Formats: sequence, structure tokens, C-alpha cells
Amino acid sequence: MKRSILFTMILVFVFGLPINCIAGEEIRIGVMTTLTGEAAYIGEYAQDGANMAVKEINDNGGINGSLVKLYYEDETTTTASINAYRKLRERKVHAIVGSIYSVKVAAVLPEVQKFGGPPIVVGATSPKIWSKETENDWVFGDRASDELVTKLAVKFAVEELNADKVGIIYINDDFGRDGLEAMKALFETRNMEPAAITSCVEGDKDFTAQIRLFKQVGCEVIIPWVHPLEGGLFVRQLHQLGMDVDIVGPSHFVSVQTMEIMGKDADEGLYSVTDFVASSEEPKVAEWVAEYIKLYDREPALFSVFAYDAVNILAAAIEKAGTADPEDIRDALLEIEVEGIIGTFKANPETLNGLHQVRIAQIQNGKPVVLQTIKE
Amino acid sequence: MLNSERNRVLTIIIAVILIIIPLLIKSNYYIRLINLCGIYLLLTVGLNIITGYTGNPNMAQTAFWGIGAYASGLLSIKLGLPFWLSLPLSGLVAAMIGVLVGIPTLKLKVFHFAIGTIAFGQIIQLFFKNLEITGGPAGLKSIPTPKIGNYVFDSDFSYYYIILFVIFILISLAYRLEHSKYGRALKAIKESELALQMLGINVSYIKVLAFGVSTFYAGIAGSLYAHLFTYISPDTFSFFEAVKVLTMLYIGQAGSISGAIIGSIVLTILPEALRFSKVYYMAIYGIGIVIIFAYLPNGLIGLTRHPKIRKYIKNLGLR
Amino acid sequence: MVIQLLVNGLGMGCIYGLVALGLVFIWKGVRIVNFAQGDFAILAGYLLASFYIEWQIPYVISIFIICIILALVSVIFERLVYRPLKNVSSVTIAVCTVGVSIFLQNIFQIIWGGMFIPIPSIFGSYLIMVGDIVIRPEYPLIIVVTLFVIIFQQYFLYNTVQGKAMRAVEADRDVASLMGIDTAKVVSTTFAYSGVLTALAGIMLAPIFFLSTASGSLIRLKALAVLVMAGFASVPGAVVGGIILGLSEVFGASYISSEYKEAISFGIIIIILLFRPSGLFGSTVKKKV
Repeated sequence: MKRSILFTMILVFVFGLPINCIAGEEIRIGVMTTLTGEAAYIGEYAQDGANMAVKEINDNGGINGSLVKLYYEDETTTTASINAYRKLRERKVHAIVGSIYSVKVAAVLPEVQKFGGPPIVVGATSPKIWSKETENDWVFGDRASDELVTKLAVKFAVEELNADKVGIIYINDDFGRDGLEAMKALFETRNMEPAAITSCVEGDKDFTAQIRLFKQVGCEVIIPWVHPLEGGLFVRQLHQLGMDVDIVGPSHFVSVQTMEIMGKDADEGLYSVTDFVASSEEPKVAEWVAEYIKLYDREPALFSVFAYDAVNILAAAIEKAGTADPEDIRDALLEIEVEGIIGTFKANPETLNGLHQVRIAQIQNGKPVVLQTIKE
Repeated sequence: MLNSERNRVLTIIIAVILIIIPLLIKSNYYIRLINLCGIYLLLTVGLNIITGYTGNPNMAQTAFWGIGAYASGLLSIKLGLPFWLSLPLSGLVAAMIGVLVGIPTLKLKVFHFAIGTIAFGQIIQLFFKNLEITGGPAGLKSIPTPKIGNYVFDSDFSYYYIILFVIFILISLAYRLEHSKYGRALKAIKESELALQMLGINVSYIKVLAFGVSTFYAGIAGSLYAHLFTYISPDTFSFFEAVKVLTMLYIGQAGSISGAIIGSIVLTILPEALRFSKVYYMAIYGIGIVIIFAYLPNGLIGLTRHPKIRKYIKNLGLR
Repeated sequence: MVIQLLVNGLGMGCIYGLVALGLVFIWKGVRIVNFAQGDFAILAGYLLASFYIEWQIPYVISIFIICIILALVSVIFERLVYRPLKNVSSVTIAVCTVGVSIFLQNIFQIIWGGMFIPIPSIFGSYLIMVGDIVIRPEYPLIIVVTLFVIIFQQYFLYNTVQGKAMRAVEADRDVASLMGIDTAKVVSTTFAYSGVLTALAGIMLAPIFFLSTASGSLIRLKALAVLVMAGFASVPGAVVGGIILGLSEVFGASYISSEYKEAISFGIIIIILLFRPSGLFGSTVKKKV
């Protein structure tokens, strides 16, 4: 038996020896995303976006003369995401494109604080991450915090849609719950209350019970703070049950995937507080989308555009810093201003979130149309 | 060299290597991996006590892992207990709940027991996800790191020694158990429960006890995990992980402690080593499970006992 | 709206029941639980997406082909996973099937990509309206198909030679082979039939459940609950159990809490195991001495 243990240990060391030789002159950017598991489609889109950005950069001579190389690591579970970060750090990447999952970012945050970099740009939106109290010197954000998004969703429902009775359905995970808390607080500041609050869980296929509640209470506007699959099904069933309400949904409600699940007609007139609209007529966005479709033969999703912008932001910072030193790159991130597809990135010195705008879109004739762009 | 001498030398070599590992390894990533191996090792050795010996597959081992982790985290955060107290306490909490669960379920047939533990595990995970006190889906964070006086074990390199120490104690315990009268009775359950009952042994009692011990190990592993990662979330304590731990036991060899050790190390390192194939590694993992359970019923250790392989090893002069 | 809940619960229940039926048959045949059953159903759904939507093969022909493919897949599964393990504990086999499930889910991702694939209902957006109540046409279809399946099964099992052979093998394999029945062939046939059942379940599920690689896991656990309720071997038990589960989930979510809806299935499993392990419909489980 001892022999077997010794043998295993030797095996472990053979596997374990740091065999990752570091190539000299390249710029290494790590990408943490879900490559396997239920959310694997996010990883697929993220790869598209990131690869596209890198190709453009390298075609233009790279950064300060060096070519960029991406290193992907899978972060399917929280434990895996911490391992992914550590592994990327081993590889001495200069910067990292991080997760859009707030739970995973929250897990990695203390690690990055402890080890001091490299700087990460994430697409997570939980207000807990972007609060001033969070100890964070390295993790930057490129999507508007849910605090802003929920504020505008509630504002839109109450002021523009003139709703007295607003119903909320939230998905029972950190995203949904954080959103609910933020919205409840907002209603309080207006001396109002949501007319009905109900929830669902991931994987739910049937929303009859929740819809029944909204109908009973007589809601005029519903804010579904849920994920694409549940949101799509919810809206579809709402439509099937013949309920004529206005819907103000989170950012993915105007994505191709969610709309496909909702089905034709169900989504007509629906509103969304979003960062990205693929069919937007803004010249910069439209141009980028056309380029993406040419490359990948399908419409981009939010995850692709986030990865694209994140790579460009990091590239700009690395270029400005001129060195491979993580602190220098981080300082550069604090100073630069980058025009991305999602919006303008300019890091807030206290929270490190760089994105302070949203678009309010509405689906008209089957296509999302940007109604307003709001900058904070 | 005499066999006993050779044994002693091997033991010393292994012990020395184990002690100097943190000095040999510079990478944070690898030391974290090794610490994870240690935690899974405890889970698997614990699982062996109920599943390896008696054949009752405990599919809730990871749920108890979670119970230990949350208990330890909450004891430290809410009650301010030092790690050195919350560690054994969370083991005890897991053990007590284990006994409570074991009493009704171990009466069932093996298969129903498996399904029952699956159901239990899922319900526990749901509680983790929904209760206020466990932090809900976001989990528990800022779990304090252990310290002695002014020395804080806040790096994987120092934490390694805590894990090593706990493993040393618990594995010695496991060995004692295996070679005791109690252990022999446990192992005999697999063969024939009826015969044991006829011998006057209270089979239910020892089964439940075994389950409690096994969940104690899981609870300890949970506490170690919680204070190492300082952040726990419900998605870690899933059915998928339970299957992983079971596979670790069977890869090595169900019913043997060294099998559990080897299995846990292999299956912790392997997914990380296969990172390069990303999407494909999960598919390979799935097939791997089938191959292990279908074609290697005695695990890798069983493989080394296979006559053809024994001859091969003999020819290499390793015997 | 209670009637609406009833209709939906019944519909969902029939779906669970149909998947559980496939499980029951495998259990009756070879006494194992196939944890990959849910993924087989999803496989049927994915195949439907490829045949019917992408390649525009007519619906009925697609169903036919898919049933054959699933039957084949089931038999291959039997040969590769079940046969080598015939004499090992059923738990080991069950864990193997979990491995198959993981493998399948990742194959789905490799072949069909990670995104959800919505499958349009063959009924378009047509809905049956009865007063205030909206009924998705899929649900009555499922009920009708399930009824047909049960009737066909009863006839087959009791009135044909092959069916009787199947029942003989299920009752006592050794005696059956002594009577000259080719048990191996019968077992393969059982698997094939289970494959067809699962294919039908998957095809009807697809427009409602929306395919994604992990859907199999969701279905699996629900079907397991139904299986336990059915005492593993009861055909009517599978259907009735499914309906009970469907109804309790829908009503539970509505009146109690939607967060703990999942706990209902597991709670049911635990309660039944504790108080009536032979299931609500099963006969006493014989203990192997």
C-alpha cells in the first residue's frame, strides 16, 4: 500500500511540475468563462467576442509591438473559478477578462486582493461588488451595476408607464435577490410598494401560479428579474394566458436567444433596461454587429460584446502602462477612458466600475429599438 | 533489504516528502490543488467507512460536507468561535445529523438507501440556497482564517500543515477502525447481514454508527474547506460532487483506505490536468466513470492485482 | 384559476409519468435504474431539432426515425453498460448510468452547442380555450399518447408471445431461460421498447421544456421521484405517480412557496421511502437473502 501511495505522489509531481514555460515577448490576457456545463453558451459567445478583439489588435501590429495571446480557463463551479484565477496567475498573464457571474466574481475578489493582481475586468453587475465599502483594488467593471439598472427600471415603470400596481417576479439566486432588494428599497424612497412579489427557481417551466397572482392583484406593469430561459418562458406564458401588461425586463430580454424563447408576438411592446441591443441603429454598434455576423454567421449576444470591450479596455491600459507590471496596468485602468460598444468605460475611483450608462429598449415589430440612452 | 526495513524506509521517505511539499512547490495554484486533494481525501476515506465496507452508497456525503462547512463558518462568524473549536464541533454536528438520518434510512434496502440519500442531499442543498442564515445563493463569506496567537494561517502553504495534521489523525483512526473487531463486523455486512444477525450482532446499530463516523469525516472536511476558501456557496455541495466522491472511492478501491486515498488524489488532479481539453474533458470524465465502474470493479488497486499486470510489474523488478 | 392549475399540473404530471414509464420498463426488465433516462429524452428532442427544424424532414417521419435511433441507442447502452455489470450490485450500475448522463450532456454541447434550442410547437400558437382556461394542445396530446401506450402495452404484454416472454423474464429469469426463452434477446427488446417510450416523451417534452444540455438532470430527478412512488415496477403507478407529482408541484408552488418547489419531489421520495418503501402501488419488496 505504501508503494501505491508513493507512486501516486510521484505521478502527482510529474503532472504538477510547472511545465508552463512562459513565452517571451507576447502579451498574455486571461479569460475566465464557463466553457462547460449548463452555461456553456456564455463561454461560446465570450470566445467569439474575445477572439475577434484580439484578431483586430494583432492585425494592427499588437500592443507596443507585441502580439496578444488569449488564455482561456473554465470556471464552471465556484471552486473551479478560484482555481482558474490561480492558474492564470501562474501563467503570468498581464490582465484577465473575468466573469459575468457575480457569485464567481465575489469568490475571486478576496483572492485578487490577497495576491495583488493581475487586474481583471468583469461583467458582473451585483451592487454588492460595486459598493464603495467593498475592499477592491484590482477588479474593474464594464457593465452598469444592477443598482443603476433596477433604479431605472423602477423609474421607467412608475414615471413613464404611469403604473400604480407594479408586480415583481424574481429568480431565487443572487442576481434575482439582489435585484429584488434594490427594487424594494427604491419603491420605499418613493413611498410606494410593489403590488405583488413572487419568485421562481432556475429550471422552472411553468409560471401559471405566479401569473395567477399578478392577475389577481391587477398589475399593470411586471418587472421580471430572471434569467433568459425562465424569462422567455414567463413572457410566453403571460402572452398565452392573454394578459395585457407592460413588461420591463433586465438586459437579456432583448437578446436574440431570449426573444426566440418568448416566441413571436409575445415580446411585442416589451421594454428592457439593457446594455446592448444587437439591432441598434447607432453607427458604432451596427458596424460592429455586421462585422461579427460576417465572422461568426450569427448575431452576437451580450457576452460576446462584453468580452470584446473588455479585451480592448485591457489592451488600452497595457498600451498606456508600457510595462508588464500589474500595478502599472491597474493604474492605467484607473486613468483611461475607452469608447466601447457597450458604452464609455471610465473607472469610478472608489468602486472601480467603469460603465455608467444603460439603454432603454423596446421591442417593436419583432426588433428591439433603443428608446433612450441614459448616462449617470 | 528486509521487508520490514524496506517498509520503514518507505514510510520515512513518504513522511519527509509530505512535510517538505510546501517548500518544494512555489505555485499557489498547485498548493491549492494539493490542499483540495487533502479535503477530498477526507471525504473519500469517510465515505469508505459506510459505503466501502457495508456497501450502502451514501450519496449525501457532500451534503454533510456542506453541513460541516456552513456549521463551521457560522460558528466562527456568528458565535466568534476560534477555528480550533469550530473544526471538531462541525464534525460533531455533521455526525449527529448523520446518525439521525441513518437511523431510518439504513433499514432500507441498499438501493432505496441510495435514492433516499440523493433526495436528502438535494433538500439540504435547497436549504443552503434558500435560508437567510446560510446567506442564500450567494453563500457565506469572510469566514475567518485560523490563527494561533499572532500567527495567521492565511496562505495555502501554512494551511497545508493543518490539513496534513488532521489527515494524519483521521487516517490513523480509520486504520484502527478497519482492523478492529468493529471494522471486521462492518466489512462482513456486505457479505451477509443475515449471518451477522444470527451471530447476535446488532447490525442496525453498527451501520448507523458507521454512518455517523463517515459523516463526521465529511463535517471535518467541510470545516477545513470553509476556513481555507473563506467563502462557501451552495453550488459546491451538489449531487454532481457526491457522484465525484463516490467515483473517487471506486477508482481506488471501495473498501480500502489506500484505495480511497489514491482515488481522491487522482480525481482531484485529473480534471485540472485535463483543463487543456476544456469541453471534451467532461465528456471524457463521463466515459471514465463508466469504465471505472463497469470494467474496473476493483478499482485501480484491483488492476494492480490482476495476474497479467503483476507479471509485468515483477518483470520490471519492482517486486 | 384553480382549474388552470389543475390542467397544468395534469399536463406536467403526464410528462413526468411518461419518462418514468421508460424507467419502469427498464426496471421490470433488468432491475436497474437508468440515471441517463432523462438525457435520452433530451437526445430525442435534439434529434427532433436537427431532423424537423434544420433539415425540414416531415414531422411524422422524424418521429419514426428518432424512435428507431433511440431504440438502437438503448440497446447499445444495454450491451456496453449493463451486460458487463450483470452480476455486480445495482448501485454500481446506477452510478455508471450517471457517467453516461454526464457523457451525453457534454456530447450534446459538442454537437448542438451550448445554447437553448427552442422547438416550435406543431400546433403553432393555437391554444385550446375553455372559458377562462387556456390549455396548451400538447397536454391533451400527451395524455392521449400515454393512454395509447398503456393500452398497447397491456395488449402486447398479455396477449402476445413476445410479451408473455418479457413478463416471464421479469418474474424469474432463470426459470424463463429454462423454459427455452432467449433471455438475452428479451432484455434487449425491453431496452429497445423503453427507448421508444423515452423518444416519445422527449419529442413531446421538447416544445414545452426547451432543450438545453442540462435539462436531462432536471427530468431525471423528477422521474426518480415518480419511480419511487410507483414502487419501481408498477406501470399504472408510473402514470398516477407522475400526475400526483405534477399536481403537487403546481399547487405547492402556488399556495406554499415556489422556492421550495423542488423540495416537494424530494420530500415525497423521502416520505415514501420511510413509510412505504414498496411504493404506493408496488407489491412487497422481496429482500434478497
